[in-house]
Order: sequence, then structure tokens, then C-alpha cells
Amino acid sequence: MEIKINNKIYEAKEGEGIFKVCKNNGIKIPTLCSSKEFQEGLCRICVVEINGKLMTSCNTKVAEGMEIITESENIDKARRINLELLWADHAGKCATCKKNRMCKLQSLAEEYKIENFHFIPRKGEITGQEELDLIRDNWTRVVVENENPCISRNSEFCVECRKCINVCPEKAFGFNHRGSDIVVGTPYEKVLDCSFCGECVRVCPTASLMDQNNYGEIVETLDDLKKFSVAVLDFGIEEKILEQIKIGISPEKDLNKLLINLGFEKIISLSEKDKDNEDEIIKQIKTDYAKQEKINPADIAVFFISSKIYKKKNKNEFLDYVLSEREVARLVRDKEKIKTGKIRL
Amino acid sequence: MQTIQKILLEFEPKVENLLPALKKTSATFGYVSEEDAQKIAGYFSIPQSKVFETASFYDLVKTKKQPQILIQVCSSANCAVNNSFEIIREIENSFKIKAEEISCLGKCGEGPIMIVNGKIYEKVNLSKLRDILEEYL
Amino acid sequence: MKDIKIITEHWGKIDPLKIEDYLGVGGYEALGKFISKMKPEEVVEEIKKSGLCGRGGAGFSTGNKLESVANNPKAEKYFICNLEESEPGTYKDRLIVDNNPHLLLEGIIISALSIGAKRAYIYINGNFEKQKEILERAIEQAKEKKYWGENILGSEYNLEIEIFSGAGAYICGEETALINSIKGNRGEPKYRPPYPTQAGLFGCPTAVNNAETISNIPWIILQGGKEYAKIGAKNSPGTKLFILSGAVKNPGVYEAPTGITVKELIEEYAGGIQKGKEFWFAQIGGACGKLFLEKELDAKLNFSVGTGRDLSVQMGSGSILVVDKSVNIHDLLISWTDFFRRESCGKCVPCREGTFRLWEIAKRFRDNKISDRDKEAVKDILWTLNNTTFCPLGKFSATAFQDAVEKLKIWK
Repeated sequence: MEIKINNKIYEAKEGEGIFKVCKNNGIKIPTLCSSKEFQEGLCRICVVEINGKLMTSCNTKVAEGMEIITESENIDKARRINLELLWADHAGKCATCKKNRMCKLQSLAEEYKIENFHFIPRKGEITGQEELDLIRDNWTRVVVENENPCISRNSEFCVECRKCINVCPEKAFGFNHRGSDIVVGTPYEKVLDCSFCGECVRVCPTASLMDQNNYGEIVETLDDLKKFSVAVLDFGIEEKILEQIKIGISPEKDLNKLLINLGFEKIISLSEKDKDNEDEIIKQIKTDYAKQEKINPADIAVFFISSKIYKKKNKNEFLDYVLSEREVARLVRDKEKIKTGKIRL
Repeated sequence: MQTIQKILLEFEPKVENLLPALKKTSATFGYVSEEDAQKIAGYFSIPQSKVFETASFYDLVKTKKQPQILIQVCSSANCAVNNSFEIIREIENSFKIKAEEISCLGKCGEGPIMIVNGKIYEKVNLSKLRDILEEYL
Repeated sequence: MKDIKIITEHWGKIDPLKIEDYLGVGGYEALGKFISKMKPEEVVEEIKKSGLCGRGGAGFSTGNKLESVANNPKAEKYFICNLEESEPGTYKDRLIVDNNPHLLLEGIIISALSIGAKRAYIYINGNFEKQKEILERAIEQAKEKKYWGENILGSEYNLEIEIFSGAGAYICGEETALINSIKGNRGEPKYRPPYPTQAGLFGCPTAVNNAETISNIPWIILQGGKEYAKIGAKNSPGTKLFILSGAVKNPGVYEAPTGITVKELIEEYAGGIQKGKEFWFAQIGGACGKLFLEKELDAKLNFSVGTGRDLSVQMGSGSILVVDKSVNIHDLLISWTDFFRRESCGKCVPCREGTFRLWEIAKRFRDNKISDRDKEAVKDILWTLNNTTFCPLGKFSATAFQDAVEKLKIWK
């Protein structure tokens, strides 16, 4: 069928979402909550005008005779107000945020110039006795959990997009409570206990779900001249890292250069056939390789760079750190800042 | 004695029985505990996250142990025009208890409505309030 | 015409616990007429002719709704009676059960059979424990008389009736949320299309109708749709239960023809304003209702049917809260905003965040800490609630606040 988008005629298939049709034709529409698999229409940021009425483009299907406008004063207004409502718990926190420059909400807030501070933050950590007073002061409870070995959770930054809930193969998360008391998290706020596939961290648009690590120690180890840092690159991770850093973190396209710049002295790239014996290859670094190069194994730090963040719980004497593509990007980001003089260590 | 197993056996494990089972569990034990939620999840063959999602949505299903004295006051407009906020403030100030504000029960002719531990009191005013609460304190 | 009573005719005169009392005043004659003389499509046709529209507040044509389910070729269909009734200030459906449960039940049976449903649910508010018992008793008595079950009154018709008790959530009055709730889910509204009439409960075509709407159906079957269409306002005929509360002399539920004015209801039905009190405004249709000043009380109460909808006279659920000048507007603003903050399902951003912010600002207003920035923010929030929320609840949550700003001029 034919539909009109921004006064131009496009071909669309029956049953297709408007967002998808636009995307396929290079028309950009912002969204926080929709993905290829799930279009729930929650964030109300992908609104467009359909025959003059504001509607979400992700979950509205094309229909004969539709006239769609993707940019207008009203659309801009809707997006700005809804972004601003979410921005209240983020405003002023970016500089110290682990996800700075890698956050979907931040980039949208910049794009739509959300600068007004109409609202004060409404989420905070509440414990026991203080609870009553804080609720009176309009705070909503925040769940912070760092007790599981792989994923760091902080609902303060959650925008309730349900991406983690939808993507999780084990249904570890739920959309809990009601109204403004909504908290996305585990039932009864239990410590997260799952297979730690990391899909939720991958899809989280903000700093709500992050890779668990001891960042200070990692930076220190990489900077330590006495330490010999080895990066073991999992098969296929290169592309993922470059994907992460190309969003304005660094223009560098040579991964080896980036890693050396971060402080790695040796880089081992795994091939597809190494899949089944990666543990063995990692083990060899502090044993055979150390012997061969006459390096004291205690002076070697082995980093496994992989999306398999569940490996974080399998750290042992032969494997010191597991870093995901996001954590590498964060290291690169901070290095760039030092270079440009934004941070002084 | 009522147990979670006995409650569950009253219901066929079909999705439309989840909410009734949760309500019954909550009414029997005061709330749906984590252990009970796990058993309910197992019985209905659904993840615990789903049980909690549903349970925490509804007012009549509690997911936390309730205080010994649970005071609920209707704060909907019809009770509000009959000074239900004055009652709420008085409970907080004089009795140091935070009353839970609840939505309309459809007893608007008899407002303000207050519920203490499940018992409904109608046309509550400041002088009545003292008498009612003294029974519980 | 003003005296015509369809729903309340036998209230207080018959024992709700005795089916014999209902039979004594012509009860279940409509069902008998349907079984012996009418085809299901004739029932739907009669309801269409009557112009009956949804009494829950939306005012959608009941005949069209039933017809679209009846015409669906799928074999399995459901009928649901919506008795969630959690609109603040609204308790008409509860009184229907309290006073004449069999009238409702008869309406349910006829409607369900007319669309070809084999199963009907009564979704009752979780707080209505007593009413649930009354209904259970009525259902039992009706079964003994073979008004439902297998081979109803010796015919080929079969119908199962089941009560489903809600668990306390305002949003479950919305039909897609109600269906989600029966399925054991959070009571969140679902994206439409598909409409419940196309794919509702368990994916089957489902007609969800308000209890008051359904209670009109036995009368329509007996007297004919044409007669019904003569009552009240032309575009939304019939009688309506109005619930008057607040500063009126005789608060309560009154049945009156549609098209009646707010003034008539207050003066002639509820005995006027209480002595010593001065009228300020009336809120019509519950927490989501608009506010009417004295000069607007001649507005005729109506449903928004078809084109040319005039919102200023929409009656919603039929509740009328009369507010006098002694009422503290801060309390009311907090009441409205807190209600929606709590009752929003929380899934879409503008409703979850916007209702919270309105509540927050209402509290600052009470504490005399409101700033110009807050007033600007209110404009934006009301705008986004009106224009971008997932379901109508967002829009509803803006109505009273907006009127308070525009009509009551609370900022000045």
C-alpha cells in the first residue's frame, strides 16, 4: 500500500509499524522504549502526527490513506515534555555517571535541548526509619543492588522502558507496583540470580543496568607500569567495541591502537574455533607464556574482553578481569577525557 | 490450619485463577510472602517475576507484611469534601501513625470512610476518631 | 416522562434475595419472550433501535458493540458485565445489585445469548463483598429455574455464568485492562486495535458492558427499542442513574431521563443545596469529571454520541459532586491528583510521571510554596496528558485540574 510521510509517497507493507517504515526509508524518529522485537508505546517519544492526531509511531500500523508528519511544533513539544519528565532524575548527574556519553536519554535530552529544570528529582534510596519523612518529601524508592557478581543495578536512572523485562530469557525482571510507585526489578527486590547472559545490560538505555566491576582497580592495574596487562579478545568482540565507541567517544577505528593506548601490553584475539577452549588459552598466559617470556605470573593481569559477562563470576588465579564491550568503551571514554584535559588524574 | 498448599488446591492452575489465588493468600496470611509467591509460581507454572508483577499491582493483594494497625482513609473527592484530609492529618499528628490513603469504595453517602484492620467506619469525624482508634491502641 | 423508572422501579419494594419477588413484578418475562419469540439478531436489532449507549461513561452504542461481536464468525465468544465501578463518587451499579440483582442477571443472560456467547463473566469490584454474595445467591436461584445453564427454559441455548472478583484497581474499569486482569495480568490497558469485540478475553470476541447499561435490556425487550428511544435526550436516549453527593440536602442515587439539567437534578431530586452552604461548583462524572460553575448548570446531561460531541454536557458515570464555598480547594486538588498518581497503571511516561508531578505541585500549592515555574510546568503536563498518553486515563487525570486553573482561577 502507499502512505504519505512528510508529503512524500512511500510504499509500505500491510501490518508494518510506522516507525519501521520510516526507519527503512531513512526518516529518523527518536524512541527510548521500542526495539526491533518489542513496540509497546510506553515512552511516548516516538509520537508523530497521523492525519493530524498525535500517535506513537512504534505500535501504530500503517493503513491505507494515512498521512504522516514526523516533525512539527506539536510533535516537538510532546517529545520535549515527555523527555523532560524523565530527565528530572538525571539532570546534573551526567558528569559523574558511568554511562556518560553512552546514554540514550542523555543524547535525546541534548538533541531536544532539555535544559529547563522544571522538576526536582523524585527517586531516592530509602531505608527504614527515614522512609516516612522521605515519602512525605515526594521521594520514590530506589533499588540499588550490587550483590550479584555480574550486573550492577540502580533504579534511580530507570526510565521504565521495559526493555530488560522483555529481553530477559529467564524472566528475571518485572514491572512492579503501580502508578508513580513503579519499580522495574526482581520480585521482592531479591538479589539478581540468573545466568547473567547480559542481554538486559546491553539493551538498557541508561545507567540503570550496568556491568559490575571494580573500575578504579581496573584503571590502576592498566596504568601500573609493573603490571603486564594482557587482553584476550573474544571472537566477534571487535565490532561490538567499535560500535560502542563510534557514538562520539573516539574517532579511532584501530582497535589495537585503542587497547595499547589503554595500557594493554599484549593482545590475543580468539578465533571462532577457540570457542570451546577459551579457558585453556587464558590459563596458558600465566603458565606457558609467562614461563616462555620469563615474566612472574603475579605481575600479569589477564583481561578477558567478551560480551559473556557471566564469566565475571568465574574469575580465578588465571583470569583477573572480564570486560564487556561497554566497559572497554568506558575506559576509552575516560582516556579521551584525560587527553583533552577534561579529567585530571 | 490453612496453608498455602491447601489454598492452591482450591484453584485449578489456570491463568484466570491467579488473581483469585493471590487474593485468598493475601487475605489469609495478611500478605503474599516471597516463599508463598514461589509456591504460587510453581503451581501455575509461571515465573515468580510474573506473580509479583500481578500481585503488586492490586490494592487488595499485599506483598509486604502489614502493620499491626492498618488505618486506611478514603481520600477521594467525595470524602475529601467531607474533611477526610483533616482526619488523615489528625491520625498522623496525634497518633503518629501514617494512614494509607485509599480510593473510593462507593460509600460516598456515608463519608468520610475509614478502615481499620479491615473494619469499615462511616461518617468519621474528629471526636469519633479518638473513640475508634482507642479500641486498637 | 420524568417519572419513568426503568432500573429503580422496584427498588425497596422487592426482596433482592428472593427470585419470587422479582418474578412477581414481571421478572424474567423478557427472557421468556426472547427464548420463545425472538432470534438473537432481533434482540441486537431491538437494542440498536433503542439507541442505548454505554452507562459506564464512554457512551458507546451498545447495539453496535453487541452486533460487532454477534457478527464475528469465531465460535467462541464472551460476554462480560463490568461491575468494577471504582469511579470516585459513583455507586449506582452497587445499588443495582443491592436492590434488584435479578434485573441485572436477566439483562446479562439476554445480552450474552444475543451475541452467541457460551460464557458470561461478571467482573465485580473486589470491595463489593456483600454484593458478590447477593449475586451468587441470585445466580443460584436463577439456575434452579433454568434461566441459565444447559437448555435454558427448555431451549437449545446454553450459558455459563461466572463471577470474577477484582482486586482493587481503578483502571480495571477500562475494558482492555479488565480483560488483562481476568487473565492474571497486571490491569494495564492494551493497545487497540484489535478491539475486545474483535479479540478480547483469551483472544476471542468479547462484549464488555456496564452493569447499568445491561439492566436496561429487559425493558427494551419487553417494550421495544422504539419506545426506549422516545425517553430522554435524542442522541443518547433512556434513563440514567445519577449519583448526587456533597452539599446537597438529600445525597443519593436518582433515576432520571437523559437530557435533564444539572440544576434540575440538584433542585428537584436532591432537595437543593444544604442550608447555610453556598454553591461553588459541581463536578460531573467522578474524579475525571469537568467542573461546572453556577451559570453552567442549565447544561443538559448527555453522552457524547456520534459527531458534534459537546464535552460540556458529558455526564460520564453520572456522578455529581456538589462543592460549596466552604470546601478547601487544596484538599480537592490533592485528592484528584493523588488519586490518579496512585491509580495510573504506570506504564506510559506522561501518565506515570505527569500525574506524580501534578500531585507534587498541588502539595506545594497547599503549602504556599508554588512558583511561576510550577505554573508553567502545569501547563506542559496538562498538555501532554491530554495529547500523548497511552489510554484515556491520562486525559481524564488532567480534566479537573485544568478546570480548576481555567474556571476556578486557583492561581489568582
